[in-house]
Amino acid sequence: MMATAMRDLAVDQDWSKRPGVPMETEPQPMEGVHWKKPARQKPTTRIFKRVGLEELTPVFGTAQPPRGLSGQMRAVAYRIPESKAAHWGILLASDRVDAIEGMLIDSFTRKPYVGLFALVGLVGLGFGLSAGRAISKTQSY
Amino acid sequence: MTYRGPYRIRTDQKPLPKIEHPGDAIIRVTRAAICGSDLHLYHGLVPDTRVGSTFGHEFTGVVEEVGPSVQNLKSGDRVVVPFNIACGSCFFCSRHLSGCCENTNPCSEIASGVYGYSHTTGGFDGGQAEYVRVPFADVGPFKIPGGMGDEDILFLSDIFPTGYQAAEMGEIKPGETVVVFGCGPVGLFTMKSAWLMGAGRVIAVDHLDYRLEFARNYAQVETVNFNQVDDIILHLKKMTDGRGPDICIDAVGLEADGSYFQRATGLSSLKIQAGAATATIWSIDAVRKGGNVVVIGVYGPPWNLIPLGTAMNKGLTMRMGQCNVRRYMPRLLEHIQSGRVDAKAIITHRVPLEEVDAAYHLFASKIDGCIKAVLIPPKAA
Repeated sequence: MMATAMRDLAVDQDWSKRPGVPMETEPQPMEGVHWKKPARQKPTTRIFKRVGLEELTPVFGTAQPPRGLSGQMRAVAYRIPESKAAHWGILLASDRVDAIEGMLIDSFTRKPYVGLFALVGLVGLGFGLSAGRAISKTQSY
Repeated sequence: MTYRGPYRIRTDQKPLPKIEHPGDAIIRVTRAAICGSDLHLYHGLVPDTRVGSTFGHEFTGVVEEVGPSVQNLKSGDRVVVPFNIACGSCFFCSRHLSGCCENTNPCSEIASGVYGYSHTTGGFDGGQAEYVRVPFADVGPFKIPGGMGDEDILFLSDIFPTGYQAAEMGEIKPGETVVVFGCGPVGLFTMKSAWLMGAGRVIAVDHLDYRLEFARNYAQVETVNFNQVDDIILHLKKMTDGRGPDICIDAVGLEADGSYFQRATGLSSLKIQAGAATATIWSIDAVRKGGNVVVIGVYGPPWNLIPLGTAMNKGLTMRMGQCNVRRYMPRLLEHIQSGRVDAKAIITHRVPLEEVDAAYHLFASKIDGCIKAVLIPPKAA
């Protein structure tokens, strides 16, 4: 079909045919609403809310509750208003920490021997670093 | 499908979703598409995307169970679900701005609840799964008319209404020239919608030849590969009597190609802005004075570097926003039923849900001619 034929399809040229015009309508409940105020969902896990919101919204997601160090970082982020870049920066950083936590958990639950090697490696690395630091300190005296 | 960190996803067994609010429904998913905006999650660019999350905000399914207060749906109904989770009764929903619902996202004021799109949009698991929890089931889900297949109207969940709203926000008048940046699925539906609204000329801009070819065939538009012209802004002005197009639409969002500076500052580890705003910048620079710029591509907080002074001095109108999907569904269904828009024709890949990792790789890498990948759960195969 050529462009000229497409122009012939201009069935929504009249703005009254466009569902989003005007963008904001006179207030009236959407189709399907049969309540004055929506019932409130009961939290069954820890849910963060933004600064300035007095209580949780009537509905919220309960997927992936906060956990570990990343969860602690998220708690800090949600004490900072959204208008501050720090709120978002800490959330992005906590996502990276969460990914590392996830890899560690995976390595123990899905491939325990890998986890064991990783743990031994980490302990060994820590031991090696501290021993190295101790030696260099001894030599500097 | 579960997210394990940037560029890492896999299939996992998770507990079945439960009714958590009297207005909930549980839907057995029959089709779930991967959206271009899912790639922002996949690439770790959306704050508060937690390990274990299930993405997916474009899906159809069958109602399995409903909460005690649900009146308009029953077990066995086939539905397509808008990506916005909306209460239907708050200040914003009652003005039909369901994309701004204030009753479904306690985590952030920037958006309503959205399925499978991080805790920044409420922490709901998404539809790239076998089952999904659907809150406010009396308001969102749209029953699939008898005789229509799931794939026929799958894209009423997001990308067709989003593309349509983009063209609508451009306030297209008969004969006007519209430039659409991005030949992805939303861009394609924006182009189709621009014709429906009486555009005189529609020009698509991208850098992937296979997508430009798809746009020419699917939407009958003129195309420009920005890598094959010296300066895309001057080129577009040359194509439009030196003034620029009447309307420019950014259907790309935060992972745009085309500017090393934007990518270095927004997508590298520097991260001094929230992604690359190249398509918005080009829209502002290319559009004629007094023209309209529409941003429908997704951007995240906290900020981006855009030429506000140029927009101000040129007297532009800028409109943007998440789509208020539900209000568009009846009209766009008519366009599909009448054959004006063959929405499912953009599906290039159908992939079993178990191979979700491969599907994301395919879509993100833009290989094998991928325009749109749809996941099929085992029970729907």
